Amino acid sequence: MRLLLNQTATHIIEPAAHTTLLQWLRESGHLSATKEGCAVGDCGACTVIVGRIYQGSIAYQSVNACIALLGSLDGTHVITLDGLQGHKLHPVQQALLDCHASQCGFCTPGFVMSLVVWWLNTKPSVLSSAKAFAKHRHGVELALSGNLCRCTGYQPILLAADQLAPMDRDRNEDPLFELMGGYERCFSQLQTMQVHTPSSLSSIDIQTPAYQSPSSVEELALAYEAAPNTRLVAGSTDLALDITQGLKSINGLIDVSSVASLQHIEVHNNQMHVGAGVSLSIVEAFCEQRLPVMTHLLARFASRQVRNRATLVGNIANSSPIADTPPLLLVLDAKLLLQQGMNQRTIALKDFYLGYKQNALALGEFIHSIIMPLPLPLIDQAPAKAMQVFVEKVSKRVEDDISATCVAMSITIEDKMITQIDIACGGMAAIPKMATNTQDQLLGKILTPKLLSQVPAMLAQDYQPIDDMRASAAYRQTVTANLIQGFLKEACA
Amino acid sequence: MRKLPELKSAQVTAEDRDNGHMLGKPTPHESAKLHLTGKALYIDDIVAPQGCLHAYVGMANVACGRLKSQDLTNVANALGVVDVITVKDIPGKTDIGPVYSGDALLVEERIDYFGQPLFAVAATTRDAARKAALLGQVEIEAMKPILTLADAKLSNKQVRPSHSLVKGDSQAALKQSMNTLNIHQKVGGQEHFYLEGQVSLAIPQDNGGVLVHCSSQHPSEVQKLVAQVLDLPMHKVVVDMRRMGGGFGGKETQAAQWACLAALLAVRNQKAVKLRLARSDDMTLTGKRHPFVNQAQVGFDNDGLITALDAQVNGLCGCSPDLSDAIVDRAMFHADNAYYIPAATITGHRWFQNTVSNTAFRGFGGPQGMILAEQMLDDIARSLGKDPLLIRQMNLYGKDERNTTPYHQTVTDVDLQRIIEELVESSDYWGRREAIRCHNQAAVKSGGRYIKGLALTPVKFGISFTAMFLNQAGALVHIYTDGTVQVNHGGTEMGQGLYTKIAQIVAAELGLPLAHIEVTSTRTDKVPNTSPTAASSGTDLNGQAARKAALTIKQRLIDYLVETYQVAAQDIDFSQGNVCWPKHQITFAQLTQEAYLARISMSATGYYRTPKIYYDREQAKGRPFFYYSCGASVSEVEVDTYTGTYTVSQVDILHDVGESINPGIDLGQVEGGFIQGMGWLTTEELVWGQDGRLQTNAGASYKIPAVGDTPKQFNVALLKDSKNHEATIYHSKAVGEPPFMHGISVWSALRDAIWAFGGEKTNPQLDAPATPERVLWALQEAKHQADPTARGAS
Repeated sequence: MRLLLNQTATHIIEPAAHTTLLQWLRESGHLSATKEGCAVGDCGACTVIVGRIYQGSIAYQSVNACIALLGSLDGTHVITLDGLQGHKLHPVQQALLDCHASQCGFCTPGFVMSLVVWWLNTKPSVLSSAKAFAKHRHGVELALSGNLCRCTGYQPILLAADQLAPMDRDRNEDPLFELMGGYERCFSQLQTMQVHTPSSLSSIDIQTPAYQSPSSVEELALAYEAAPNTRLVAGSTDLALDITQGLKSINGLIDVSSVASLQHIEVHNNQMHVGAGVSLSIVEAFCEQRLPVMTHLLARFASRQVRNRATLVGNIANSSPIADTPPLLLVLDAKLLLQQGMNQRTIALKDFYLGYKQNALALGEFIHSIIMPLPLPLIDQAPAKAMQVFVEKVSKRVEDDISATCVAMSITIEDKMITQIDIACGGMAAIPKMATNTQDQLLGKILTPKLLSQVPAMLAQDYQPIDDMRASAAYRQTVTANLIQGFLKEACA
Repeated sequence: MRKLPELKSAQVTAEDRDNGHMLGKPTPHESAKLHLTGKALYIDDIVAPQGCLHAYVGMANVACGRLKSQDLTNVANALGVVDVITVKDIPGKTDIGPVYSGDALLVEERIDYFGQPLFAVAATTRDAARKAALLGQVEIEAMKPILTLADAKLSNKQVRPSHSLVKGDSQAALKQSMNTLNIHQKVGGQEHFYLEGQVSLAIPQDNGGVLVHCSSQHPSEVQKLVAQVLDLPMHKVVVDMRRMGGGFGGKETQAAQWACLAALLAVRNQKAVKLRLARSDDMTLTGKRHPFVNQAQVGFDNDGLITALDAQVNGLCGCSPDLSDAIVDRAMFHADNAYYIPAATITGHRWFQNTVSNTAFRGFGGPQGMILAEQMLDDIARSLGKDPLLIRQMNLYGKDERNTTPYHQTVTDVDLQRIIEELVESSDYWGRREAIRCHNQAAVKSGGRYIKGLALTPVKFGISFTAMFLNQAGALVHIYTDGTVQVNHGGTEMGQGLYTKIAQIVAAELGLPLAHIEVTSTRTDKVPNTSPTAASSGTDLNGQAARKAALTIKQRLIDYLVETYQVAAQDIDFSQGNVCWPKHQITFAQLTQEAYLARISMSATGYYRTPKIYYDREQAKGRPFFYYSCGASVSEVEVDTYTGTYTVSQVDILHDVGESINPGIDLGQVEGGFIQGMGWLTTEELVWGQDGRLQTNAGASYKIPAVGDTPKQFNVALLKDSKNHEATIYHSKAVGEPPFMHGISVWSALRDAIWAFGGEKTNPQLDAPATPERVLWALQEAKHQADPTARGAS
């Protein structure tokens, strides 16, 4: 595999499937600017920038090197802080210096990288109005949602970002590229690497590599059918924990994220199709106008670094009861397109989850894409008939936390009567689960204070959550009921 | 040297001249550029010698038990393994307790906490060592662990005896009080979550000794313990520490175990050995802030003036004494916070638990005592229907009277009246109080979802180690013949900016630009017998020592000039890299060359011990603190009554650092300390299972504040025109720990919101950390008490 590491085109022969980028940088590359704080993607000290060609230019993103598998970075541009050691500080470094934004300095490399890529990808903004300032701060908080600092309390880092926001800049002229030999050079290097990507050879005599990156759905299907016990991987944001925490050796992996056709996200007939390789950050941006409730939810999903790598389909396939997107997808009545060999079938998401970490996928079958009907835009309909969608995630911390409960509800009210209602929760059962009993009891009814007061009892029939370190069962039940009562009041108001 | 250096490097640039020595200016952290470019080396970044081995530990899977046998054949046979050791392989002492024994390097028989290291393994890679460490065949007789205060009380097990502070007859005073209130509060512990985990790199030396690079706040103690474990004299062991990636108290005693194991394996195998804990193991195997259970009865008159206090503070210490004696003492010393209590009995207990031994953490017990005082003041105010701020102001220590603490120290230098008045003004406390009252009354009436709270809390924190002998420091200054200076001192750099301040101090004394001063890594072979960098004392102690060393050399240079040029000493001025006297000016560098040729020593040590302090623990009387560091904060919160989640919408802090040596660094300590204190009382929850295993052992489950938790409005200021009345270094004040306790105002504001939600009727019970869950239950309880027929929070 080949990658552009800062300025240097680098050839790596057959990386082990379980080698992480961080391990490789620090142990093989002897590049020590990137730090290990937690090795599970929680702290962001290992943040690096990864660029890949996307729609005709290089898209750069922040990535947790500790949970990014080296094999997944074939043909990418990896920028580490070792590459930002020029004679002059980068404006981001200078602003952080001016604001006293480092104390112990151990998290600082990660903050520099997150802010450099935020600055690169953000247009200059004047912060004169309160609204513009709030929008700017929200953007910075999203960019830094995966970077923990234990010393500064973040204030000087935020002030540095405030100082940077209005500065005039042109993306491809960013001082970053002076250190990388120019944007054009980076672009042409990546193009060259793409031509030489050896995956097309993998089906010939060459031994199957440990880290397979098929480029078409057919290749993927064949490879997975041939070795159905091999694990599929996209962003490895969960799988890598088996390596860094579980200390497991993984002999082979098949990466779905280099399949071009699985990178598609699009809307047909008011249905959104999201391929298995589409990252949550892309979904987040794509939904901003089309399904704001999803963008709103994803702002609370892990961190920017994790969303840049993790996929929507991965969040479903993982089948975790505390996954954040399934409740919303369930109340939108999403469907999954599954594929096994050359056969495809569609299954409703509500039929997909069978039990704790168990799902309806057959051996060798994978999720090709997810299809979600969009609630019809409000303006096209009489308000009385519009479907309203609500979702709220509750956790101890706003950024990068696992939910105690994540509650979603879609509801249609016609002439005060509830003509459609779907409720789903995460963290309340062994699977992301719909509240079928509550739905049945509310459907066709007019919301009265008495009915509203019965909601907790209805929900108690649907959910018997557990106590754990995040919350007690009683808290989960109470909060879920409070939120659903709140949604109902708001929907009927 | 035969030929003196050319003086290029010692030239003073225009930039240097503009910057001067920067004393009192917000000069950046000395390593800021290195941090920002990734060039700053931490221990894991040091290029290890060839053949470096990696060590790891095998861990117990019970919290309490007896190790019957262990078969480590599989460990020894695992891929890459070079050496395996148990307690039997320790040549010297097997206990590494810092003050009292009780901390086994490796388990001999008794297992006291879940995960306790049973054996250590060295292998060619870290992966191999970690994997091999899982392969031990261990036979353990499990026993029922003591995990709660109730368990500990039942078995009457304390790690150290109880101790009391007594002033007057509190029982009699309570009986005579017009009103009394009882308080019972639980306060959780806290994981340090330094971003750089525990790590040591030990390199065997040809003299049979060992050099240990250790991320430690206390290199001298690591040196001593390594020597004892290896059965070596101390002069064979050198500990080196350039910078930590955060410490916060978590590397005061907790770094030693890993240093000792690495050193032992290094010497046995005559290979360098590195031991770096994985985050989840670091969280499991190292001590935390002590959880406390505080109980008190407080008496007060009808105006709200406190008349008496009888308090019990129960520190949950974990399985060994570690530093718990002093930590619980400091909780007791701060149970008054800033308030005068005429008659007080404050008793501290030190309970045993089968958990990892709790240890130092910013504030060192002070916060756990202070939060009791703050609940007391809030509760008194509410029971009298008065604003808590008024009751706080009324009870503050007086200047000339009402100024003796429960440990009989006279408070002379605390100007909290002024600080609070200025803060009330700058934060518009009363305007916002009224606006919040209106908002809340409307919300309660209409069933609005969000309720607000506001609180102002002061901090008065005693400065000095309460173990008297630790209040000493040494430094070593070298001046070279190009005019540049190296400074070494006993303090360690963990991000707090100590090295920067030390460089500023030496630069100021020698009249040199900062660039000419290099503060070098803290090493036990440069400055011996040092105290830990703790108790906020780093600059106070080491700054004075470094200053004295610089002044010693400066005096020699002056003596030389006086003798050589017949100039009066008082006419000589050192500034901006030059040395001037009437009609003469030479550069400092030129002077060093002259002095060298004239055979003047340009190396000196400096030594400092804090004056005036004394404490008789038997009598619980004295002056344990040289002075107090003070400040106050106002926090406003908005609570979601559906979920108990909340946002801290505005925080204003005014903090007194005396004459600041570096306001940029001091502000950073205040802001960062506040957020850390807020984390302690809000999202940071340690959860142990029934088996005594720490369940919140990762960033995924243990939540320190993230970027969005920084208040949207965060106004932090240093008190103007203030100087320490004591002769501290340039009349500055210590700043490391005190701001941590400003976090208490967030907790207090949450209680304020809950009180409002309950119709302003009750004093809410809100144990810390005030997680959304605890807040929700407190909201429900408040509402229930206000209207027993109402159900649910919303």
